[in-house]
Parts: sequence; structure tokens; C-alpha cells
Amino acid sequence: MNKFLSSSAAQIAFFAGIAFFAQIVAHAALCWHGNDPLAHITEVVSIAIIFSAATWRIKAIFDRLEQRHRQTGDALQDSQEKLEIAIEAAGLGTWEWEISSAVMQWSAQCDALLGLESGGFAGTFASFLQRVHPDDRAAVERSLLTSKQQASPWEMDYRVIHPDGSLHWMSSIGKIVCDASGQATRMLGVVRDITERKQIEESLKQLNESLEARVQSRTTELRQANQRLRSLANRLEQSNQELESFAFVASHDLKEPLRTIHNFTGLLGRRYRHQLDTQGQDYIERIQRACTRMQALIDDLLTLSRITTRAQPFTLVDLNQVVQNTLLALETKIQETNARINVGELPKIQADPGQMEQLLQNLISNALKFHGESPPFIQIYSLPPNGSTEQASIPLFQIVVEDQGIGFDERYLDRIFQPFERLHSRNDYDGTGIGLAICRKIAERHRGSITAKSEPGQGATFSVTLPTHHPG
Amino acid sequence: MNFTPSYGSLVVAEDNPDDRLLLQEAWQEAGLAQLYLVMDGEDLMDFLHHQGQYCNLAQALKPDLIMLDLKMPRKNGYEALREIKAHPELRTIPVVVLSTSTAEEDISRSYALGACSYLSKPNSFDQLVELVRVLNKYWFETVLLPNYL
Repeated sequence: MNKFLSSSAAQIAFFAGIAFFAQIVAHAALCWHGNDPLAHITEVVSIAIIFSAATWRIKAIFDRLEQRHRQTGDALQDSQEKLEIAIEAAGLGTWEWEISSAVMQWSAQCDALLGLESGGFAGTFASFLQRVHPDDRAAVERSLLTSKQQASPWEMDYRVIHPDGSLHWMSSIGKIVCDASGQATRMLGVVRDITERKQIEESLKQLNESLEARVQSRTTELRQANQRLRSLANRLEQSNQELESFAFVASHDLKEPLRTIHNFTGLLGRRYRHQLDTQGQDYIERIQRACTRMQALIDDLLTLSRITTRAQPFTLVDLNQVVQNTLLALETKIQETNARINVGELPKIQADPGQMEQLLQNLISNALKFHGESPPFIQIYSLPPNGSTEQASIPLFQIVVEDQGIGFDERYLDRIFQPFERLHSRNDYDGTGIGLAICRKIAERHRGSITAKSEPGQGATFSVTLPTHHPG
Repeated sequence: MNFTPSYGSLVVAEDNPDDRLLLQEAWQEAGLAQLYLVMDGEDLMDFLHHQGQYCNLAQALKPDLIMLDLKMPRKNGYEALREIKAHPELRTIPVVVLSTSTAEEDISRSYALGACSYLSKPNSFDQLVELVRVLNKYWFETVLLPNYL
């Protein structure tokens, strides 16, 4: 706009100059020609033409200048209006702070933002501070002063109190205007209400805090539950150990008086047999049979408790060798019953060798015992790995002891692996009823399991599932 | 004392009075060697060294065989066994363990300490008589023992 104005001024000066020059020329000609009227008229006419042309030109320029100036004013007013609409739409209040006089001027929107009636603001810096929440007042004043001193932009969120006592959050932005010497003279700025945003932020924060608190309390609960479980497991393990060592000590100490009873009964029978009638002799025999049975029970209980209390470390065991040892130990029984035994190829595994022998001996002697009418036919074989333990991918395999004997009803499956459980009367089959419980405990100590399939009269198949090796 | 020169003697350390009586009864039926009974390990050492209540034993008396229980008061079988095997003169006397225990650790520990045999106390009197018979037959008729005279 300045460029346009300066170029117009030059044009005015130029044409005014021309008009002025033409006038001088006309006067000179008038003086010089003097007495020649025609020449005089001609010159006057020519000067008049030039002058009027110049005047017309000048007027046209002024018209154009005026028109342009009007257009610029319209545009300015237009943009001012647009700005005001935008400010109003944004809910912004505008303000101006005369720093030296502490006078504050602001728009009607500012009054609304502070809950005042239009024009209800006293117009001083102090009256503005009066509206700020007491807790924020010092901070607002301090930060405004800092902005003033450093001539830096001001930006701050603070609370104000409306005359009705309600609390509102404001967000202000201001800019320092300096004079020629660089001194801050005033600050111009805008303000808007951010109460809603603050409320959302606050409720989000509260939600977050309550979530965190809930997570925290749940974590604590879990930790406590975990601790309770762990201490319970410890106590269980401890009482289990105590029970096992109790069983061991008790059975051990039970053996001694029993042996004494058995021995003296035997001595009695030996020395005084001839002084007793047949009934007295029968009584002695019954005492001795009971002693033998109780000794077997105590021995089996000892074996059962020794599986964990007197366990040997795992070594590489050739199960083929174990089966051969077992068959050798059972040789008398095998010959007595005229048994036929097939043994397949068995693997080498990491196990307690003594316990493997115990396990197979119990299963094979069961098969020899419960053979029914025909002589026992027993097959011992292994099934290849077809699964793995839960903890690690350690191959599992099965040792199977299969017979064609009297079998059992599978609804008793759970019972036969419990200690002292018997499916037959002692008159039919002797035994303590602990043998299969020992087998189960050995399998479990090796992180394996034992199960059986059977039908009455159709033989029985006992399968022991064991891992081939043990980590750690 | 009815001492038979062809048969030697043995001392048995056993604290259980029932077992002492049973052993004596069984010895009556099948024992030939001279049987001495002492109460525990402490007693056994007194007997071997001719001291305490055994200070009046004939100087020449040294048993050919020692049999001991493992579980005894004051001085148990292991302690007595260790002491005997550490003694320059007593160490050549064979020691037989007679115990209730059939635990592997007791068996191997006894042999490791120098026991010659490990016997489990029989469960019936008939078996005890048989054990006494076999013991006498083996240690006093079959094997050759060092001569202390």
C-alpha cells in the first residue's frame, strides 16, 4: 500500500510540475509577443489546453486514489469483522494490560468468562487478580512479572472464582509489547475457559488412580494368596516328611517286640509241645502265623516309606538286566507254578536300580500269584516313546507286564494302588496288600505313573509310564 | 566252666535281655563254643581289656570271635567296632554284626568299619537255632583263626 501511495504522489508532483511550467511559458510568450494578438490568442489557447489536460489528469489520479483508499478500508474492516467472529466462536476473551498504569481492558467475552455482567469489570490489574483463586494468585502474579521482565510470552492455566462462588479453569496466553527503548509497556492476550477439559483430565486421573489402586490391591491379594499357598505347600511337605520318617521309625521299632513274641512263641512250642494238647499247639501256631503276617506288613511298610526316605540317586539302568535279576529272585515261584514268561527288548533309563527291581518284582510276582486254573503266562515288554512330560520334552515310555490270569473288575482300579487294599480274601491269596502301592510310589518318585487294564477272568495288563531321563 | 579245648570262645554284646535269653536258649540247643555275654559296647571293651568288672578274668582269655548288636546304649556297635579295629592286638579278632536292621547303609557301614559278617536277627526261634548252628560250624569248625597264645 505504501508503494502505491508513493508512486501516486510522484505522479501528482509530475503533472503539477507540467502545469506550472506551461503557465510560465504562457506568461513569457505574452511578454515577448506583446503586440501580436493572434499569436497571443494562440498561445493562451495552447496553454489553456495544456492546463486543462493537466488538471483533468490530476483529478483522474485523485479519483483513483480515493477509490483505492476506500477499497483498502473495506478490506480492513472486513478482516477485522472476520477476526472478531472467529474470536467469539472460539470462546476467547481478549485483554490488554497497560503495565505502567496497571489498567486492564478486556472484551465483553472476558466478563462472561469471569462470570461478571457485561462491563462489570473494574478495569485494573488488581481487580483481575482479585478474581483469581487465592491458591493460584501468587503464581499468576509471579509468572506475569517474569514475562514482563524478560519480555517473554506468557502462558498459564489457573483457577478463577465466579461471584456465585463456582470455580472455573482459565487458560491465558499473552504477548509483551515493547516501546522503542525495549521497555515492556503492555501485554496483549487472550483467555479461554478450560474447566471442561480440566474436569475430564481430573476424572481420567482419578480413574487411572483407582485403576492403579485396584491393580495394586489385586496384586497384593495375589501375592498374599501365593505366600499362603507356598507356606501351605511347605507345611504339607514337612508333615509328609514327618509322616514318612514316623512310618519308618515306627515300623522299625515295631519289628523288635514282634520278633521277641515270635521267638518266644517258637521256643514255647519247641520246649513245651508235649505238655500241650492239640488245641494248645494250634493256638501257638496261630500266634506264629499272625507274627509272620505282621512281620511281612511291617517289612512292606518299611519298603513303602523307604521309597522316599531312603531313596538312592538315579543312575543309568538297563531294564533287561533288572528283569533278569527279578526272574532269578523269583525262580522258585516260577518253577512251582510252571510259569511261561516272554521278555521283549527293554530300554535303558535313568532310575533308582533297586526301586526298578522292586517295581518289576512286585508286578511279576502278582502275575505269578493270580494265575487261576492254568499255569501263568506272562509277557513283559516296552512300548516306544509316544509322549512327553509336561515340564520338558522328555520322552516317556511304557513297561508292560501282561498276564492271562484271573484279572479284576476295573471299577476297583483306584483301590488296588492304595496300601492295604485287597480284592481277595487272605485265605485265597496271601499278601499284605501293599505291593501295588509300592509300585505306584516308585513310579511317582520317577515322575511317572502306573495304571492297569483288566476284566474278571480275562487277565490283567499293568503299564508303568516313565520318563527315560531326568533333567538336573 | 565247661571249656572244650577244640572249640573256641566268643563274646556277644547285646543289651536287649530278651535277645540275650533267646540267644542263650538257642546256644543250649546248637552252640558248642564258649559264650560270654556283655551288656553293651562299653562293657565289651572292658571285657576285652580285662578291666572294670572283668578285671578278674584269666589273663589268657581272649575271645576268638566278637559278635555285637549295632544299637546299644553308652557305646554302640559302630563305636566298639571302630575301637577294636584301631587296636593293634584286638584288630585281628573277627567281628560279626547281629542286628535288627536290614538297611543297606547299616550293612555297608559295618563292612567298611571291618566287620567280617553281617547277620540279621532271625524272626523265629527255629531260625535262631539254625543261625547258632551255622555260626558254630563255620567259625569254630571251618575257618582257621589266628592263634593268640
